[in-house]
Amino acid sequence: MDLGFPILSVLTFLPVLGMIVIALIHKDNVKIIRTVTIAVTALQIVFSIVLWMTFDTTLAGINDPNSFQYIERVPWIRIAGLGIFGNVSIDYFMGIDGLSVTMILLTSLISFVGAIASFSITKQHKGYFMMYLLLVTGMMGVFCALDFFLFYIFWELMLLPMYFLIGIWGGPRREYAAIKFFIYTLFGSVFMLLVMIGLYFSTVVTGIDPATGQQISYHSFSIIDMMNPANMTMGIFATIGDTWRYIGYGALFLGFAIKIPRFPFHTRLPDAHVEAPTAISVILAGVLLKMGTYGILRICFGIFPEIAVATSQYMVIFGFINIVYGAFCAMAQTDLKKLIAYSSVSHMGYVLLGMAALNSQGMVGAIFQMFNHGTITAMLFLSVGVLYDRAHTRGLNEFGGLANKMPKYFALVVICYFASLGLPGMSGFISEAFVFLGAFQTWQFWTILSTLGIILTAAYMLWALQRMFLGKLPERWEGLTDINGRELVSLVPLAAIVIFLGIYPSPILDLMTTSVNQLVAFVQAAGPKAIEAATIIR
Amino acid sequence: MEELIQPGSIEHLKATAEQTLPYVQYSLEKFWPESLLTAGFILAIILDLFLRKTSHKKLTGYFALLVLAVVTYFSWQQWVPYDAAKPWEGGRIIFPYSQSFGSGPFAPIADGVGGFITAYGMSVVDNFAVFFKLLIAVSAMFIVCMSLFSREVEERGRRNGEYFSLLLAVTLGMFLMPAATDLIMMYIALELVSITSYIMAGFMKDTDRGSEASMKYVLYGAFSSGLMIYGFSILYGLTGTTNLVAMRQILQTGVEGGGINMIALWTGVILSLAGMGYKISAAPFHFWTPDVYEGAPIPVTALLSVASKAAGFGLLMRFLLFGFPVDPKTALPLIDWPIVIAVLAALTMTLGNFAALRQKNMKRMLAYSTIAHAGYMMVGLVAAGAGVMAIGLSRGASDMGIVSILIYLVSYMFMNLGAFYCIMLIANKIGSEEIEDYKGFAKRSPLLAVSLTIFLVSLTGIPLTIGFIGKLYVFTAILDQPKWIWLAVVMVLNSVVSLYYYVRVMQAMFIKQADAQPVGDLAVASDGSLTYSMGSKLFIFAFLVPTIVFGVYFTPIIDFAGQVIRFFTVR
Repeated sequence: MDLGFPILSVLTFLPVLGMIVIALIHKDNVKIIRTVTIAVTALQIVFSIVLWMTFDTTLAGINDPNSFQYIERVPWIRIAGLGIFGNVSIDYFMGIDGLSVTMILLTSLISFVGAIASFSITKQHKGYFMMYLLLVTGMMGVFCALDFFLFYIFWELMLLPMYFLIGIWGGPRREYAAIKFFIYTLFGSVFMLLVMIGLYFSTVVTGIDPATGQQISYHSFSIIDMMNPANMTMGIFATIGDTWRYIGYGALFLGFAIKIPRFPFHTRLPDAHVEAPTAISVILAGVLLKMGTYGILRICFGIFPEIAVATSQYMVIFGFINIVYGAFCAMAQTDLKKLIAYSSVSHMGYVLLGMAALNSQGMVGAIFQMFNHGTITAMLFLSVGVLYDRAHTRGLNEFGGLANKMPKYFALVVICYFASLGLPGMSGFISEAFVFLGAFQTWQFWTILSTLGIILTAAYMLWALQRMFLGKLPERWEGLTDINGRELVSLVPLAAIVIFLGIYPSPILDLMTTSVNQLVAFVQAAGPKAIEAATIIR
Repeated sequence: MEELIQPGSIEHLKATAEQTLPYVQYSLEKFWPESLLTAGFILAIILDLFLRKTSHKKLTGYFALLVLAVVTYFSWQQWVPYDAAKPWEGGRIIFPYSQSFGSGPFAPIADGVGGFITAYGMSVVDNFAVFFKLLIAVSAMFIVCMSLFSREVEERGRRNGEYFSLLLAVTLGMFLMPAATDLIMMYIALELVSITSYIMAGFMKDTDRGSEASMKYVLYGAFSSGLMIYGFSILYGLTGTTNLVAMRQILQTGVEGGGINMIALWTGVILSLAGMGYKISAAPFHFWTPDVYEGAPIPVTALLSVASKAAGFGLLMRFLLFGFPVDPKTALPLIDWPIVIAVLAALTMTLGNFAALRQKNMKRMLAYSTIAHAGYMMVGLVAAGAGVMAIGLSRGASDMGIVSILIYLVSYMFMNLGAFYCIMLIANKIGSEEIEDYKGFAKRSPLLAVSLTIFLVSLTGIPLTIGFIGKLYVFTAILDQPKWIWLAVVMVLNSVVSLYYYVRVMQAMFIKQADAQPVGDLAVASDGSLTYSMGSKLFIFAFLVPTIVFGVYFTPIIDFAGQVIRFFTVR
């Protein structure tokens, strides 16, 4: 697919352009700064709709370089042989398949919604919007990159803006939350760096040198090259099923698990989400968590398929813990934002469960759940933001009877709470159904236990709803006003998407089905090899 | 019958002189940068005599800058670009040029009675040395510029001449350190650097901490160099030579004959490492670092942390990689120094990072951070050593190890000097280096706050900055050898720890609210904002641009550092 212009680069670097424009605007022109941000994110939506419309759903991608779409590949770093180290080659290599296109749609949608929600920022607008746009570039880049080095750079690019966004514009405990977030994620990603270098040494690609026309061998950072077992000929990761590959998989998984956040690395999440300003909570829950699961699918499953198969039972257990533990934690919260943060932990557990199923239904469910959780949690955080901007408290028990006071708000909140608990007719139901359908085939015991999560989710969501909106309205909240136009603009489209996809999920499902099938086939094919290799070792 | 020339007679001396004259001439030609530095040093003193009573005190600084620029040019002339047909070309010119080298680059010359003539020279001019000379000359130029902007130096204007001439002297010493191939030369070069640094560290002798810095530096320095010279004497006793190349050959034959006292050899090496470890501030020889860094004027601190450390690494690498052969029977090195360096590296970075966590003073914090960075670079040295062991196998790993240190040093130069420059500008105005006083600094001078943040991020090693490239290559070198993966893991965990104290500075600048009465004794506007001259602002970009540009496109650095190493390959 060729649109005549590098659409992925445009999508990724448009926010940087916006950032430069904002840098040139005087800091008191808040309106222009906001307009630029909105314009940039709206343009991103336009481009991702173009992407969606022109995307060829019959091409699988995953490990086949020829069926990736919108490929951009430019040599970036080329260093002629340093002894045995051969030719270092790092490419600016972008391309998408069914896995990433869904995430790109989600990212542009959430970035736009987040930009609208950012209107409630009250200080240092210039810095805030510059950091915000830089963050968007990082997110977009992660989903577009096919070169591990590039992926890693985008991955790390998000750390600094996120630190400042939470640290400067966050709540009372923002300093602690920001530094905790920063250190946790850096801790995960440094191990990713080590594995990346190890993989780089193990991957030897033979190709033709365009300059001389001779055949040369070189190490490659391309994720697709790393997926090809035939390229794994040197170094510590060369032997299929080897202990080093287990360690490599584990280290990568650690990096991604912190991002998800998987139990027991979830403790950073409630802090960061609660202290961050609304828009940043939306981004955190809506997109950043998905990077972890996306990374596992693209990199862990892609590069170490046999280890993924061999260890999938641990993944399902972690999925179960996330679902049930997260739900219990959520139930105990009295701070609304914390409740939603823990509900994210619980909902990301479904994604793990679906991925661990290692079949098409489970994986489709997992990816669709990633998308749905993005939209639904964004709504949840936005709805908290609406209330917090008015009442300046998030204490669940301090409210009551808001349904009469804020009817329009109540209607929207009901939609998102019900979507979150997986009511049929909402998008969350479809994805959870797929997840359970897939997971039950592989892991019956854990899947049955995990269904407990659904009941718990219903319990804490409905209980929260009851405490806030029903009963008697305390006198201090007499002055609350209903939701305003700007807030509606950010919430209503999301609600429409949630309901639409609940009734007719095909537009998103069709995008990913071919790719997911390819991924499942690829991983399953590697499974027997792994079991074979494992028996040899034992 | 032919008349015998009596040894020691006038005729004999004459004949010897005639024989050696061409060599002396040749040697001096290769000694241009050092000669110029010496001349510049003397001229700067004379110039100062005329200037110290006038108002042109800074002129000595400009003169030093000029000298360094010329020296950089001449050093650059000595660079030999890599030629595939003659790969050893960059590494064979030995000073003083007194022997022919037989067939290979360092072929031994027997004296006919079983020993070797040890006239290999004191010092070499090879790409390795030239690389360090360029690095040191460039950082010295940066330091001169920094000093010209420094309030601490300016306030002591009468002694500016002394300051800048000493700077040239210390540069001379640092030029000699990585080039030395003889234990005597190593010692002389190291002492030249040390003694000059003692004086420079005590430049602010009117303050308590300035005198304390100098005093501590002298005591630790004297002790360390005492240990080192003792180690050297043991090595001399074992081998009968002070020349590294000869020492290597003698040890080689000695091992084959089985006649080396390993205990004595180990003692000698460990004691020698003490002196070098002190120069690069590796644990456990690092105790002087925080106090000296805190007490010295900031440009001198920057000099000690970058140029002096680079020279120390040059010396250490030359000593370890040149001096010790591989045991042919076991294919292991005669002295298993990589394990020593590995333990020291792990200790150094862990200690540096954890000590830095508790610091409240910016300069002390950066002092501990430079200790940690020395640890990171030693990881590269371990990789280099591990590759040297594997002779007969690929040499790639050792090359990569050496190259990774060189790359790290380049990246370290830009980011660390940049960080010190920012701190200096801040201290110029607010008169404090306490992190506490940085609160709300982002509003007082956004440019400085953002620049300092970028340098600190680079020091942490986060991508798109040059610091990441340095770390990447060290990891690359060490990870190629599964045996040392634990060291790589220690190093990444240390990077995470280091993030915490670097972030604390950003936190103070951006997140914490400024006090009602902002700290600052000079030119503080009513809203607390600070004004800087255009020149001092623009000079930040000299560090900022390389830090970011090379972080994104790092091919030039790697290529440049890669050329240094080729001659090691054909050794």
